Formats: sequence, C-alpha cells, structure tokens
Amino acid sequence: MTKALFVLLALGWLVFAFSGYVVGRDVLFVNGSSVTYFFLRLDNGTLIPLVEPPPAYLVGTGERVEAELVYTEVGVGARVLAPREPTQAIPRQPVSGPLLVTLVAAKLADVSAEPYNMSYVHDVLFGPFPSMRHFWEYMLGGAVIIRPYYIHWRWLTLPRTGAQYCNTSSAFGSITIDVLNALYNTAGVRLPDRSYLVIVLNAPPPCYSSAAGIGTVGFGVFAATYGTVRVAVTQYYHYADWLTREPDVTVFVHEFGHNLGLLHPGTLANEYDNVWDAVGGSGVFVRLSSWLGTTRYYIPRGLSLPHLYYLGVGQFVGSGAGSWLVGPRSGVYLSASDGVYTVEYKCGGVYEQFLDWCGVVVHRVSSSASGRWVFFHTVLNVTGRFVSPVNFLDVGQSAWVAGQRVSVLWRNSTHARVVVGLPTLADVVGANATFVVGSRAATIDSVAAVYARTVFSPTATFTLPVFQLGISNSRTLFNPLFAYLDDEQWQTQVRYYVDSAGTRRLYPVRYLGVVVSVGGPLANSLTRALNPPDRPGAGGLPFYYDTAAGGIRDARTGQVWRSRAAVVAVVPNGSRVYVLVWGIDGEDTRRAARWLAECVPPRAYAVVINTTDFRVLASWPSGFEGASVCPGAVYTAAAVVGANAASIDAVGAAMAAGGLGLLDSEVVFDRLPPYVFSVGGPLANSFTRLYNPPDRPGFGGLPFYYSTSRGGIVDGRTGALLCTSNCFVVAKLVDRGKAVVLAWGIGGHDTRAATAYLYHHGRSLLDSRSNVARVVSWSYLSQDGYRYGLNFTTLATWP
Amino acid sequence: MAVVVALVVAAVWLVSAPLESTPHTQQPPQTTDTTTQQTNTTPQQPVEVTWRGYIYARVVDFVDPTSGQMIGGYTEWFFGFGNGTTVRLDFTNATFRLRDHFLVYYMSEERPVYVRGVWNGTVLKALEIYD
Repeated sequence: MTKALFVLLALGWLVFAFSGYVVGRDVLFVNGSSVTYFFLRLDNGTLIPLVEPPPAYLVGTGERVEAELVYTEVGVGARVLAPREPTQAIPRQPVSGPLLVTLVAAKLADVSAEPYNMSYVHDVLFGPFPSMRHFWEYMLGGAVIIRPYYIHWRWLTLPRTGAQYCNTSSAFGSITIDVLNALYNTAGVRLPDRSYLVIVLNAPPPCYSSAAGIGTVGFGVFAATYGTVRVAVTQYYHYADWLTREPDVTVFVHEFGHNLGLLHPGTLANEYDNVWDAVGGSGVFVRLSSWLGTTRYYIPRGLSLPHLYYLGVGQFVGSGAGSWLVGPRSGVYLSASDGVYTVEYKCGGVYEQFLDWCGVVVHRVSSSASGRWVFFHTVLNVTGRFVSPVNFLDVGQSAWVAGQRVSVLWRNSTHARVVVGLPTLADVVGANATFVVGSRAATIDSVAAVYARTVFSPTATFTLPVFQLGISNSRTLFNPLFAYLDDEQWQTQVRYYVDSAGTRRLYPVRYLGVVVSVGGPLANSLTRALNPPDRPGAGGLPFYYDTAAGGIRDARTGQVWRSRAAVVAVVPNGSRVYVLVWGIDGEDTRRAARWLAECVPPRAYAVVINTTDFRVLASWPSGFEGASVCPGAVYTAAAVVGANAASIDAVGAAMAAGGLGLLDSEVVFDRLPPYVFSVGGPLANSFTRLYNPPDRPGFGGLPFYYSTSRGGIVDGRTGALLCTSNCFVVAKLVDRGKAVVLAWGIGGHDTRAATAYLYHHGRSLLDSRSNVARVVSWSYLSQDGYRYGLNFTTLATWP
Repeated sequence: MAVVVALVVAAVWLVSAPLESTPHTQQPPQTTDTTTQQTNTTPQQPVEVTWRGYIYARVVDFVDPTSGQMIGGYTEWFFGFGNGTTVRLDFTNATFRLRDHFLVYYMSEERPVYVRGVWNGTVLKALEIYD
C-alpha cells in the first residue's frame, strides 16, 4: 500500500517540472558526532530527502536546481541532477581584458569640413555614460576594459578623394590602409595585433552614401607598408549635420559590436528590427546632462542574452520546464529542432532604462550554417516591418515558444519570474495580478477579490502611453488601475509597431498581470468566456457549472457537487494567464478566494474545493485530492463594502486593500483588523455611514459629507459645494485604536478612483496619526480612445 | 635514382592534392593588398577550385539621416588565404560541413576551412565549405 502510494506520488510529481532548492540540516549528537541531512525544498515548502549528497556549492545557496524522483526501499527521495550545460548550439567566445582602441578622425581629400572637434569624438568613444566605451564595459560586466591605445588629436587628411576610394576594389579597405600608413608615417604608430581601429570620416565616400558605419566582423588582416596588421575596424561616416549637436552613440556601439563578432539580431524578416539589442540597429534619442549642459544623445538600449553569452558574461539559470527567476544577463533556454530559444528579462540597467517597456523577450539562436545566427522571436505573432517593440511578454502574458508555454508571472525592476510549461496554482501564488469582477455580480461575489488580492501583487507598472516612436525620455506611471469590471474597455499598455506597409500601428494590451477573474460564469462574462457553463473550459479545463444539475461537474468523471463547492483554476489562454475563482454561490466564491489566501495550493492546474473545510474534492490533473494544507493568514486589513452596493464598489475594495473582504452587515468592530477600508458612500455602505453620514459632519468633526439636497460633496466648514461629479472623499479616522479609512465618491467609478488614489498617493494620508481627509477631483487619462490612467487634483483637505 | 623518382612523384602528388592546393595552382587572385579588400583581377574563365583559408566578414549599415534609425545594410563575406589576400565569397548555394557553429570560423584565425567552389576571377562561389 505504502509503495503504491509512493509510486502514485512519484508519477504525480513527474508530470510537472521538478525543481527546488537544496537545503541541509545538521544534527549534532551529544557524543560530538553529527550527521547532515540534505533535502530538496519545493516552492511550497515541502522537503524531500535527497538520496545522495548534493554538490556542496548548491547547498543553501538559493540556486534553483532540477531533480528527479528516486524510489528506494525506504521511500521516495530525490536526486539532484547535474546543472545543465548551455547547449552547444549557442556559441561562446568570451572576451576579456583590455581592448586597445585607436581613434582617428580623417578627411577625404576632396571634403574640407571638420564636423567635430576631437573632444566630441573622444567623448562619444571613450567618455563617461553614454559612450561606446561605457556601453561595452558596462554590458560586459567589467570583463573588458576599453583603453585608448592611440588618439590622433587632429584631423588626418587622406591622400585620395571619395571618388578615388570608390574606384578601388574596396573603399573601406583602401581607407583603412591609408590611415594605417598615415599613422605610421606621421606619428610612427604601429597598431598592435588584435587591436581595434575606429576611423571617423568627415563624409561618406560616394559608394557608401547613406551609410552610417561599417564594421569588420571580428579582426581582419590589412597590408600596411610596414607589414600586415590584424585589426578590427570601424568606419563611422558623418551622414547628417545634426550629428554635430546630437551624438549618435548607437552607431559607434553598434559597429564595435560587429568588431566583437556580433551580427544583426533582428527578426527573421528584418535584421535591424530589435530594439532590445544595440546590434539590432535601433536606438533612442535621450536628453542627458553633459559638460555642454544637456545634450540629446542617440543611445542603444541593451544587449540580448545570446550576445552576452557569446561574449562570456551571459548565463542560463536553467532550461526547459520549470519556474525560473531571470535577471540581468541571465535567462533560460529551450532547445528545439530549429535552434535554441533564449528567454530573458530586459528592464534594469543603465541602458535598458530607456526601453519603452520592461519585458521578457525571446531570441532564437540558429544552428544552421549561414551568416546571421541570432534572431528576435516574435512571441505575439505581430508581424510587420518593425515589430520588436511590441513582441515581448509583460507580466501575465504567455506565449508558445519552441512548443512550450512561456508565461511571465511576476517582475520587478531587475528580475522576472518565468514559468516554462503550463503554470500551476502553486506557480501563480505571488504573481502580479489584475482583478476582474462581474458588473452584475452580487457584492459578496466581488468582495472575494479582496481576499484574492492578498495572494497576488497588484500590477501597477510603468506605462508610456504618450509616445512618439523612437523618441522617449523615461518611463512614466500614470496611476493605472488593477481592478476592473468585466465589461470595461481599458488598456493598460498601448504599444507601437510598424506594419508591413510602413504604417505605424497600435498594439493595445487590455490587462497587465495574471487576470484573476472572480465570480462564476453566470455573473462574470470573463469567467464565462474561459469556463462556460455546461462544457469543459479553455485548454480542456474539466470543471464547469452544469446548469441542469445546478452544480459543478467534473467532465472526466461526471461527478457533480451541488453546494459548498468552488473552482479555482489557472487557465493560460491566448497570450494571457488567467486565474478563475468562482463558487456555486457568492459565499462559495468568497470562500474559494479565502482558500487561495490561506492554504498552500497544489501543483495542479485546477481544483474543486469544499468551501466548508477546504478539502480538495477533485484536481486536474488528478492526484491532489484530500485535505488542504492551510497555515492560515493574519489579516492586517479589511475592506468593507455595502451588501447592496454596486459591484464596482467592490472592485474599488480590491484596489484599496488585500485582506478580509466583508459586507457592511457583517462587521463586528472588535474583530476587525487594525486597518479597515470602508469603500462606498454613505448611501451604499452602512459602515461608511456610521463615520460619514450624509448632510452633516462626520466622525471627529470630518467636515466633508454628501449633501442629498445639493447632490454633491460639501465642505461643512464653509458650506461650500466642492463638487457634484468626478470627485471623491478619502479619509483616515482613528477609532478605538483602529484606522478606519473611508473611500467613497459620488458614483461607483468615483469610489474606485478614490481607492486608486489611496493606492498611488495615499501614503501620507495613511501614515497620519490623527484624523485627516481630502476631497479630490479626478478624470480618466485617454489616448487613441483607450483609457490608461487617472489624473487627480486635490480640492480640499482637513485639517 | 629511385630516391629521386620517389621524391618527384611525391612532389607531384603534393602539388596536385586538391585539399592542399594553393591559389597559384588554380589561377588565384594576383593582388595581396588586404584581407577585406576585394582583389582586383580581371574576370576569367570560371574554374572549380578547392582552397584552404579563412572566412572574414564586414557589415555595412545604412541609416535614415533624418531619424538616425538604421534602415538597412548588408554583410559582405570574404575568403582569405591568410597572407593578406582575399576574395569575395558567395556561399548562397553552399553546403556546409563544419563541426562547429559557422561563426566560430569567421571569428577565428585558428579555424581554417576548405572551400570548394567556382572562382571566376572576382567572386568565389562556394559549393561546399568544410573543415
């Protein structure tokens, strides 16, 4: 029996990615001896004994390892698998140490202009940020030092005209040789073997018109008068007069990338289409401080992981299925028949800060023998002329890569959590999330979102809606929302790309983060779309509401639960990950969210739970049935919503706080946690009415109240009508040792705006030790017909 | 006498061995200016050759002079003999039989390749590249 159970367990585990962390426990005996036990700690805290000692360097480091289950005479154990070596299909030729660079500014014999002074050229090449030197030293993590070997501090006049160079078999080669010879003849300089030569020309020769730069890929051999020289050469051409004011750092960085061996990593269709990699060909104008005051630079925005790996600094934290934390210069790779796919997160970093968005991007490294070998992979299948700016995964987004689901569940400014394979309930805990409730749902359904919010991190990311392609200075946060009604049309990101016809187009993103859809298919249209009644849901989800039977049915077994049951499911669909939380009735929905908040979810895609005792009645896939592990939760906050309020009031509650989700009729003051958010106005929420009744000042002299006769918010100190629409009251009142925070507006959208204000700007109010209140007007921010944020103006404050 | 004959036979064999053939045996480029410089030879009757040498590349990048955005470009490939002499290389229709990733070869002076192809005095059209 025991063996069978273990085998079943093993089979269940093996269905999923099996990875965790190696931990050790040392037991010291009284006789002075000791024994050390090693375990594999899973994400949910489960410890599985290791059947053999792991490599010492893995113990207690927090480095994720992969393991396999091993059946032994004494039970099931785990064996750590050797870290996978990055595939040989990704070549690697590390570069390190000093790279010697010679800089020459040269004039064609027939062009007298000297468009730059040498300080300008020197700074673009060797100066502090932003410069070619800084970029490569920074990107390569200090592995290289770019040192000026020789700088020719005056313009060198070449012996031939542009046309004459073009009449040679290679203008590039002839210019290079003339420069090499001139350096030797005029300054006695011989370039060291395997050094770098940057030639800044005052104009492109006619045969290179409209060229900005040419770079050798790696080193070439040039026959100077004093012998052959093996150097990597960049030629930079003065291609536009604005360059004298606005240095094009990108071209210098780009050509030096070629010198280091890199080729264009754009899309399959356009090798220059990659905003995430300097050698991809795209930069951005940024006005930065400089010794001239401010200077508008054209700078690159990072380097892709295959290139970083090739140059010796990129790393892979793992490969294949699993939950991976990727950060700067690290990622995951997936092997496929057409090459190796790399998954990385671009956000933190001196140059990455100028990306329009933070995101997880995918490249394909081709093993086929041809020129280009790194290709930007279009994960969202948006094709066109210039699509790399939109083809990335932000939190909550998911795409098929090399036959596997790749989902981004969480991110901060430096790291992202990437799940390869179908994400499970255990994986989504802690994810960045957006909450959606049915507009026609009962409030008790909706207030479940407050519980759900304790499990997730709200998604409030930087957005950049007002954006001219290629011109941006910084990311901006416009007070975005993260809780919505199911019927709202809201866009949290509006990305831009250029289609095949050359037209600039929008790629709007409706939600950010894992979308937690609360409420059943009859109350929430988003839930209904993914998990419709009377048939299995998206991706084969076997649990659905059977309208004829009046309960939740398991399509695999036919079993039906008619009361005290709820579904909690992870559903990747299209390019997004959803979490569905719904019960047979509203209270079951709230209990399901509470289960999510207080229990350890299994590594299943979906479960049906008993909402009374939290037992798992059925799981998908099977094998996780039984009692839940529920450590419980200590709630520091509660959100109270009127039992008969509009659903959007409850949406606001989820914006305001994660914690206990209560109806006003359920409040027992002494059992409330220290922070109580009362959401909704005095006519909709009796708890709010206790503190802020209509038509008269409220608790502690709170002067702002709703005037039923005047239809707006009145300042009781002056009698002035402050506003009748698009405004709200936020207040913090201290009552018997608890902080009662009121958030209510004229209507439901005003109430939600009040809670958004608390989230984004409420810190000073919430930190106050005495009673405070504000009346704030607000409006939606919109562009191209899409709402993307909120604008606030304070109308009155108290005291 | 037999020794002399043997030496002569050996010498003939060495000269005629396809993998060891030198440019001079098969109408090579006549200039030796630079590695990345196209040789200035007159077109000649195409001849199949097998040369041992190195692969080089350089990239020409074009920009929109108004926006600064790179809008195109091309990569030029060269075959070099290691002595400063190079010829343009076209491997569009070539079959690759290399043990490592292609870029290992064009990034390394230590990784020569054999190119079997058609030399027309201007471009070496590779049929097969192997090591």
